This record gives sequence, C-alpha cells and structure tokens, in this order.
Amino acid sequence: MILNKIKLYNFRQFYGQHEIIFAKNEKNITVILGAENGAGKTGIFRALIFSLFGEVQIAQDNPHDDLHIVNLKALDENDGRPTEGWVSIEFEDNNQIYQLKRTIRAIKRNGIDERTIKVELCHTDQDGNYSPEALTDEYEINEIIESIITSDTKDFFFFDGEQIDTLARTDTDVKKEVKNGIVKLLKIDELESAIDILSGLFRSERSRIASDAKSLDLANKEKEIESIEAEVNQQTTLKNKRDNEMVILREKINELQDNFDQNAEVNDLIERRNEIENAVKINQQLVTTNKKMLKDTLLNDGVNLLLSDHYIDVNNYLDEVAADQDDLVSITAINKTLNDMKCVICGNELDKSGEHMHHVELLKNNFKSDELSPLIALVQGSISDFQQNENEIESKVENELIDFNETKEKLEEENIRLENINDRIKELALTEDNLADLQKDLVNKKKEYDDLKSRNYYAEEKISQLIKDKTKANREFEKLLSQNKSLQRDQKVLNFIENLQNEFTHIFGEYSNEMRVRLGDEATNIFKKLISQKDRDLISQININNKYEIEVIGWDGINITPDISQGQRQIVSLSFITALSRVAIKSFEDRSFPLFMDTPFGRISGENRDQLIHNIPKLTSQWILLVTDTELTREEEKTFKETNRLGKWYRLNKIEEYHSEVEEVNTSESIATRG
Amino acid sequence: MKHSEDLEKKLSSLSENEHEIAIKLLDYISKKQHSRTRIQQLIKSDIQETVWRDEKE
Repeated sequence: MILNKIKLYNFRQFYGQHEIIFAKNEKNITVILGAENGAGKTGIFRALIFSLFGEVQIAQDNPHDDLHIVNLKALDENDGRPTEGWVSIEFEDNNQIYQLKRTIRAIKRNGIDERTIKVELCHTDQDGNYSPEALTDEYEINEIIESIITSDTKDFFFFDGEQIDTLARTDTDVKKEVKNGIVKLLKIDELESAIDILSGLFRSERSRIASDAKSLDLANKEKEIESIEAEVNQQTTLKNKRDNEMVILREKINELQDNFDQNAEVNDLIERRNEIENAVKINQQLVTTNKKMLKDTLLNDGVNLLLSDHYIDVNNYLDEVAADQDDLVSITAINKTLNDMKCVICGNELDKSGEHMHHVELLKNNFKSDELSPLIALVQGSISDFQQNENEIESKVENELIDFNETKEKLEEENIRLENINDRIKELALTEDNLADLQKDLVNKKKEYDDLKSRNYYAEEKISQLIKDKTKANREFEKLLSQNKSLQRDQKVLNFIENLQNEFTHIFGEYSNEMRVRLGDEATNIFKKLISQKDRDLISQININNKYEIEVIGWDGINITPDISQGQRQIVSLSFITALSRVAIKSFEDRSFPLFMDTPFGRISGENRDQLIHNIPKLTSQWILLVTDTELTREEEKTFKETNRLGKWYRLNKIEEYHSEVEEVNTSESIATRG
Repeated sequence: MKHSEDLEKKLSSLSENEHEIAIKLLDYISKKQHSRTRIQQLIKSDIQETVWRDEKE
C-alpha cells in the first residue's frame, strides 16, 4: 500500500478544502509540522483513520468523549443548516489505484448531530481502466479495505509514536494484539482456519457416514469417538484457560515479588538502622565519659598546664621573697633546740654556754611569724609536684582530647548514616502491615500458580491417554467401515479430509515457526541499525516466542523485556513493525505498508532520532511524520535534508480557533522554528 | 489470491490432489466471501470430485 494523497474538507480544524500529497519512491519522506497546539496535527492522523476505516475515535481519545468531525466554524456559519465535511484519500495497492471518500453531515441545533452519509470507492486497475461508477456499499468497501490492510493490523502502520512502546510491553492484552497482527499480516490465521474447517468437516462427515450405514456397531463407535473428542476438547479448553490464568498469575507474582524485594531492602535497612542506633547509644555514653574525664583532668591540672612556662620565674621570685624573710631559722627548729637544749643547726649544748642559750631565747622572742612562708612553701611544693609529673599530665590530657574528638566524630557520622537510612526507608517502605499482607498475597499466588501447573500436568496426561483411546477407536471405526462395501467412496473422502488436515497441521507448525524466527532476526537487524552505538550491545536479540510475544534478550542471554527503558521500548516496537512490514513484503511481493507516525520522536533521544531519520526511509516504502516544533528542531531538519530522501514539507498554520490551513513548503527552505 | 512464497513451497510438497484442494481451501478462506459452513460444503464437493476422478482414472 502506498498513500498518494489526502484531501480534507471542513474536517476538524481544517476549514474549507486542503490537500496533502505524500512523498513516495526514492524521496519517500513526508514531514508535516504542526507547531502550535490545535493546529491540526492529530486531525490529519484522524482523517486518515476515518477515511480508511470509518472510525471517528483514535487510540489516544477518551472513548466517552463526544468528538465532532465537521469543522465548527463552518457549522456556525451555516447557522442551523446541515453542513458537510469529508475526507478523500488516494492510495495504490497491488498495481491498482483506489480513491476512497467518506462524507459526514452535521446539524447544530441544541447539540451537534453528526452522521456518515456517504462512502464512495473508485478504482483504477493495473491496465489503467477506471471504474466509471463509484462503489457505495459500505460493507463491500470495508471488505476491500480489510483485504488491503486489516483493521487488526492498522495500528502497526498508522500510530501515535508516544504510545507505540506498548507493543514491547509484557501486558496480556498487548501480547494478543501482537499475535493478531503477526498472524493476520503473514496470513497464518488462514492456515489456522483451514485446519479448523477440515476438522469440522471430518467430524460431520464421519457422523453422517455412521448414520447412513445403518450399522449399530458403527454408530456406537462413532458415538464413542465423539464422546472422547468432546472430552479432549473440554480438557484442552480447561488447560488453555489455566495456561492463560498462569500467564496473568506469573505477571502478578513478578509484580508482587518486585514489590516484596523492594521491601526486603527495607527490612535490611531496618536491621542496619537498629545496629547503628545501638552504636550511637554506646558512643553517646563514651562521649559523656570522655567529657567528664577531660573535665576532671583540666580542673586538676589545667591551670598548671597553662602556667607551666611561667613556673621558673615564679620559683625564682618566691625564693627572693623567702630570702627577705627573718625567719631563716624556723620556729620549729628554735623550739626543738630549746627543748633538747642542743642547737639543731650547730649542735652546741645550750646549758654549757649561757650566751648561746640567751641567743636562742632572743631568736624565739624576736621571731616574727611571717604568713607568707607557709604559702610560699605550699606553692613551691605544688609547682615541684607538677613539674615532676608534667610530661605525664600533658600526654594524659592529649590522649583524653583525642579520644573525645574521635568518639564525637564517629557519633556525628553515625547520626548522618541514620538520617540517610531513615530517608531511604521512607522512600521505599510500605507499612509493616502492608508488608505482611504482601508476603501473604505472594505466597497465596505462588500456591495458586503451582496448583494450576499441577492440574495442567494431569490434564496433559489425561489428554494424551484420550488421544490414544481415540486413535484406537478410529482404527476400529475404519475397520467397521471397510466391511461395508457401499461406503468405500465415503471412506476415501473421509481419509482424504483427515490426511489433508494432518498435512495442514504440520505445515502450520513449520511455517509459523519459520516466520517467527525470520521476524525476530529481521527485527534484531533493524534494531541494531536504529539504536545508537552505545546502546547497541545492550540487546543481543529480539525474539518472537511461540506465543507470538516480543521478547528482548540482553547481552547475557537473559530476557530483559520488562526492564528496558521507554525510549528503547519505542525503538524495539518500531524495529518490530518495520520487520513485520519487510517480512510481509518478502513473503507477499505485492504487499508494502507506509509508516504513518504521529509525534514520532517524543521520548527518543537526539542520537537515536538521527539514527531513525537516517535508517527508517531505507527500511520502509513510505515514511509520513506528523511532528511538533520540539521534535523538528534545526538539528532534525538538517538530518532530514542529509538523507536526500525528503520529498515533501508541510506546515499546518492555525489562523484562528477552528480554522487551520495546510501550507506546502519547498524542501530547500527551512521549516523548523526552534534551534 | 496469492499466498506467501514460503507457504507455496510447503504446499507444493503435498500430493497433486491434496495440493489442488489445499489451494482451493485457502482461496475460499482468503476471499472472505463464504461462511465457514459454506466453505465446508464447497471443499467437500471438491474432495468428492477429486476422489471420483481418481477412481475413474
């Protein structure tokens, strides 16, 4: 499919008639810039979806919103009279050209009443023969469009870039969407239908033959087979239902486990917090003890330490003061001399010399009790005591100060760690009650999962036994049938149907596996081209597994689908879509699809944008982009021009509310408004 | 209706009669013109004709 042009008349913001011609062939990029909000960028996207599929709403709309299609300015001007709006597109597919036009009529009275009134499809065949009359049967037209691009696969080629990352998500709904897209586009669903049709035909023929044969044995055997088949179907349905439940349960378990693991971190943090709190208590006690010891030491020796440099001077001074005193001989010595009658200094006997006796008595009488002497003795004694222990005291004070500082610093560090841990706990933690509920829920879900797994194990065994029983009953049925000569041709027909059904089942298995592998390899190659160099080695392979889910495999072989970033997911999704289109082109030569993207670069980094701009035009037949001014800066404009693939530039100008116009700009000119 | 080249290759491994019926069946399905029951009737008639032709030969 190649889009040639789109025309809009009074459609959404577009007042009057406007036309956009899409670039194709060598220069296959069309860029439509809607710089202002409400200029109609998404209106163009909506017009394309409306014209092809008749859908008014697109994925990004709220389904409850009542959207109006006909331009409101035109509607107001018509003042209560019916107003028409339409979209017409021209596209090519399989060498045929189609022109499709949908017209909608609106009337504004109390509210706005809108309805599609006309759908017309004209086509020109590969020999240039133009259909003179347009096809107007909406059902028939939709069937034709569906055969060109199914509504199931449209979202792969016409999409909102900001939402495209959902394809590489792990949700159950998205997986279904991906599976539908693949099987429809690669026509794998037709093989499934063929198997289903043959299987139904085989059963109805067998039943008819058994009834026509008028043989009780044959009828009973047929009933037996039918009953086995019914049980196989029932068991298989239940098993598939449980398989689906298991997928959902596995997702829930992973989610709960993540949540729980996060809270297990909280438990670790709480343990660490308790340890630190104990250490803080011990260190607080140590700080108090150290402080007290230091205080005592300083009270005892602080003054001495401060004055120690002056003590020599103090001692000298005190010696001088002492020398000035008259009490060179102490009163104690005088009293002892008089008591012993012998001089304690010279040893003279006092009773032998009256003169000596007189002199000592004179000393005692004249002794001036000087109050300074004991004080001097005390001070000098203290100084002497201090000087003897000075080094020891200094070292003691120094050690006590070091201990005090170290303990205090340690305490401060622990308080900071405590604060950080508390912040982290606040960030992560659920309440303890919730954590317990979470654990309980997780245990229950795991139990439920294991229960389903074990029930499916028994179901598989049962199905396997039933199939053996069915094979045996089938052989017996055939034997009975072969005994009836008149039913031989019927038997041949039945065998033919059965053989063909088996062949189709075999081909289906092989073909779908090959397609999945090819799709995965193609998506991986494209991804390597689209992603920036630095992220290239993070992802080693994109796989499409046997349930048709996209799996992203990391460099170490581990499935990292849930862990990749939104930007990477967007590029994985784009790679998958492009791969799907390329595999479809290779498999069906006449099939090609444009990539029509609204807001393509929203979450994509600058480097990756450049990669996309350079590579997507080489990988797809047509690339149409609806961009905002922040997506198309001068940098992107330069890159677009470098590709040499830029075919059309358009700018959407908002004249006033509900009045936008399409302006074509020469591709040599500049269109970007931001640096 | 054209089928994928890979599928065509796989179908070509069928016997001539089976191949003919398989292609017809896939065409009925891809044209989306008939209901499932109608396709069963059409393909049954095709198979009967093939079996009858074989017997005749």
